[in-house]
Amino acid sequence: MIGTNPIKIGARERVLGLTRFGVDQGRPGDLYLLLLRAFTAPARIKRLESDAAGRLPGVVRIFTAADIPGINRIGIIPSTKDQPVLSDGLIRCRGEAVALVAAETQEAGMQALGAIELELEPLAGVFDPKRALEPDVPLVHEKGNLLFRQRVIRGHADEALARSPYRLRTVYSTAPVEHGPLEVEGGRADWEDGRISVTACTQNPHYDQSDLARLLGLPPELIRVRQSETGGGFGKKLDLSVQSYLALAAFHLKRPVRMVYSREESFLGTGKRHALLIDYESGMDAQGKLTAVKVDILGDSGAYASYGFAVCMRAAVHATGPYEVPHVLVDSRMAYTNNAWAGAMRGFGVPQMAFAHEGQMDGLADLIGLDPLELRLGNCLRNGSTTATGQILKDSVGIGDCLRRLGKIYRAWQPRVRSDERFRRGLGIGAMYYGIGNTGVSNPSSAQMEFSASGELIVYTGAAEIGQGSDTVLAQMAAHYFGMPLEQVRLVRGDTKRTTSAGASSASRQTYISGNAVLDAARDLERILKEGAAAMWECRLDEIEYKSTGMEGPRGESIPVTEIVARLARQGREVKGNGRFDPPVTVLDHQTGQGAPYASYAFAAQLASVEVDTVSGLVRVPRVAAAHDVGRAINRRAVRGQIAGGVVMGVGFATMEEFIPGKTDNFREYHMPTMADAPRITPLIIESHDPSGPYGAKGVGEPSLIPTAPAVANAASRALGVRMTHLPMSLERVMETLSQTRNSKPEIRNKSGF
Amino acid sequence: MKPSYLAPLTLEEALEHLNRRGETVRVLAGGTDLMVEIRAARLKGNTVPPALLDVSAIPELREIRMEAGHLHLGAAVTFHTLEHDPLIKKMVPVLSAAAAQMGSVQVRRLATIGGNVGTASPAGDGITPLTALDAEVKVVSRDKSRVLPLTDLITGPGRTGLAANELIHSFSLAFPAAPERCFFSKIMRRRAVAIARMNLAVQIRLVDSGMIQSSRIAAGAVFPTPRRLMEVEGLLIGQLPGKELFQACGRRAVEAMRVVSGRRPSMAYKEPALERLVVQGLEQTCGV
Ligand SMILES: Cc1cc2nc3c(=O)[nH]c(=O)nc-3n(C[C@H](O)[C@H](O)[C@H](O)COP(=O)(O)OP(=O)(O)OC[C@H]3O[C@@H](n4cnc5c(N)ncnc54)[C@H](O)[C@@H]3O)c2cc1C
Repeated sequence: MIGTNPIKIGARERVLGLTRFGVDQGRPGDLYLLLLRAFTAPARIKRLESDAAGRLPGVVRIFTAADIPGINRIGIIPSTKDQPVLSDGLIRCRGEAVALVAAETQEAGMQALGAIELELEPLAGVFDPKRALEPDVPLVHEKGNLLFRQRVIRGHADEALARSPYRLRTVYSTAPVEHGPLEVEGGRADWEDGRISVTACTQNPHYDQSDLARLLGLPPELIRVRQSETGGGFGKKLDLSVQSYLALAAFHLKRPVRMVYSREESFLGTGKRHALLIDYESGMDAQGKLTAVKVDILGDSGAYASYGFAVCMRAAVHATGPYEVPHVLVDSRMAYTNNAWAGAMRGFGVPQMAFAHEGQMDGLADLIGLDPLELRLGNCLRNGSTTATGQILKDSVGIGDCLRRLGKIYRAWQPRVRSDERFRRGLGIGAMYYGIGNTGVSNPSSAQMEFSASGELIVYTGAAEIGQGSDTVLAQMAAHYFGMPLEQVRLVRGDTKRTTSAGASSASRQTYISGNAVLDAARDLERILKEGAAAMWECRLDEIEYKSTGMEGPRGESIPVTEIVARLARQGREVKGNGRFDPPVTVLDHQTGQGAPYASYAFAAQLASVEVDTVSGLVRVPRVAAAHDVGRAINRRAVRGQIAGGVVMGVGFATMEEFIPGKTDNFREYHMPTMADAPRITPLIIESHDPSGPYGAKGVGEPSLIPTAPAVANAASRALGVRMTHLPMSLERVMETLSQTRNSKPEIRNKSGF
Repeated sequence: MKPSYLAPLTLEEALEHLNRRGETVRVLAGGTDLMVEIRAARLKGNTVPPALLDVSAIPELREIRMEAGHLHLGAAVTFHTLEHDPLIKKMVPVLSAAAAQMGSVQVRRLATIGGNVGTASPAGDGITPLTALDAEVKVVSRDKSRVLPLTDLITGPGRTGLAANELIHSFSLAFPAAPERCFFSKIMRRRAVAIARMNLAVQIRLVDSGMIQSSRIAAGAVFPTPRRLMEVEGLLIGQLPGKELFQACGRRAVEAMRVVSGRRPSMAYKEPALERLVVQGLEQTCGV
């Protein structure tokens, strides 16, 4: 069962078009909800007049911030809830929601939107995160424009750099990126038995419940959130979107309501990948060992906090990459601006950091004249290494194995990569490590498990399945534990009434954390069953053996599981195993960033071949080999699926994706890779076996994406002979580079290329 | 709010409708531009056309035939047909090559050449090869019909000289008297389903001596309206293909763009791109 390839639960329904996603929840008779958004930012609302619009035929009610009974501030991180659901009088960034229309039909709703009178007074804003932190600039929020700052200090980086024979300093920058899941935000809310019930696509139903409760000023028990099937998230569906509006309208109207964002709204109304500006200095000794890094990170959170805090911290912690660096000085700041707000996106700042630390590794390899792969192998973390935060990694450090596996392919591809007059070609490597789960905070998961009367194993989990495959992996673990076929496992999932919190489907954490919680529940259930049998046969617990056919006692007694369950139930005992897992982590020291922020780390390295068209400037990625240490692959097919998806997303991040509000906020202008842009991918699964993971597993959801852009950027840099320091490497940027370097000698050696 | 929908089966009926309600009806062929436009207008709260006149099923508009040394191409011929029709592939391969790079499989099944011209985008992938080939367009209304050069019908970016009661009926392309070599290339931000950042259609006749006897070159997203690159063609006639000649052509194309389109921020990209695209296009066409 572990390491096999069962077909993903729900795949058949998806292929047949039977799946009901969030956007499919609406039913006849539901009211339609539509939002009026403001497009001038920053601005102050001078006048908002909706009475006439509210009297139009088919319009039921128009809500504004004044209708919010609780606290009009949401945000996933408890200390930085700063985002109004409906504008509090200020428009801090483009697209902010101002009024919510409930109408009998979509058409009537649209008419109402057009009839609401909104007058805005433009205000001075700040759009550059650097400028935002200077004195005397407009404040996005009263508390000031610095959202968060995290330092990581280990040893004496300045002194070590001064002593280093090789030093390299480069400034890297990245653009805001949209997730672009197939399904936009959508859902439905109803009023049932005196409570509000919201069904929507989401990555985190239990968080949704708590923030909705705050918003409506209700106890959480009066709100039920059910996760509908979810057509992709990638971080975009971690913050609340339609849920707030659905709950608010259902609360007031006591009627079922439905809401679906348009694609444009989906672009505007959700957080983007943070643009980071990274000033990176590295030092190396004569033997090619990293001596120190000094890194300055500045992130643009846009107008709201969302996950800014977490991204700021995670970027700082991962700044060195998967290498041993004795002296580290990282200063990471996250600033508010009036730009589009940024939120979680696959990797929480690490994809941006990996672009920088991997650019440095390639640059250092050139500086010192070593092969980039060898240089990485000589510096990478191993069992027993200490990370930048002072954490000692005891085991399961698979980066060396990833690099070695890649090495064979690297040498095989090298002779084939030749430039010609039109196409410049190169190979590049990207490596990364990634802490599984949230950074330096408790982030538990819980699960329950029981046998039904017919002998099915029922797993209760709050873990949102968003396409990544947590349903399948959790069911596989449960089936494996009890030695049952997967078909006999049934999941009850993502429903605040029937399941307990598993935390978010984010940070690559569900396989590892919820997997452990499920195993904990399985052990608990086994104990309960054994206790029942021991009482019956009057023997010790450890004399009972669980077999897939039932329980066996010391004197050859046996009883099927269903019977013991029935017996216990008759005695009034609850035959439900309870499980919980909270990864053992320590809080980072606020001054120095030292601590053990994660209980497990995933490692990966990828190799990309790149072809730059000198006519158009288009960067094409024909091939990627991706080596991923996942601890243990619970489902190999699912791991390969994650790798394929991550690599393609990484190609988009590297070569074409850039969100510009008002310009690239739809799929016509915002380009994501198509199948024609997808490389041929060779997935390589490395299993280092993490003893703390369920059956040795770690995570792969975000790691699959993280090394791609660095590998592509390094390959393009070799092809072009110049270090590419900004993502995306758009046609314009590449053309500029080509024009500048046309007549000069390449700065970068390209052994494999020309 | 929803437009009414008419789908006449004859040209006469369609023209009658247009004549009566020309101001309020919008012609719909594949709808791949029009539906996008209507949706955008809806979202912005702008007015949408009260009626749509679907001309895609009118047999006359779907015709492809040879006629006195000309290829006749109905306005409602789809890009899928342009891509695969054996006659078109043989007689105007540059148009087939362009069609193959247009949109996606799904879009090509719907999108028509008439719609491409109706939209009159400077980046239209059908317009560039038609321009290179000096296509003439037949425009009809209930009471009259006129034939004019395609370049005269398109009056500005996104603008045509069609009257409210007029319909694009067909295109007519003269066959070359002798075999010609051709080339179409498109610069996109990704490798499929993207509007051209720039496109180029080239058709050249080489005589036995290897000399260039005739050349037709047009580029899209370079000028506000489609236009042949006569400046470049002039350099080529009577010459032997060669690197230096082609590089001079590339530079000349850029000069022409500067003169006609003026200087804008996008030129920082477009100038080197056009220069290289022209050089590469000529090299590939002539096999240099
Ligand atoms: C996903 C996608 C990708 C695309 N990719 C490309 C691409 O790569 N290259 C490209 O050039 N375009 C592309 N387009 C744009 C569009 O598909 C083309 O312009 C197409 O040729 C339009 O044809 P249609 O038949 O769909 O026109 P419609 O949308 O039906 O009509 C377009 C316009 O022409 C008018 N019109 C149509 N037929 C006539 C007629 N017979 N007489 C008078 N007026 C008429 C209409 O009133 C309307 O104004 C793309 C569109 C989409 C949605």
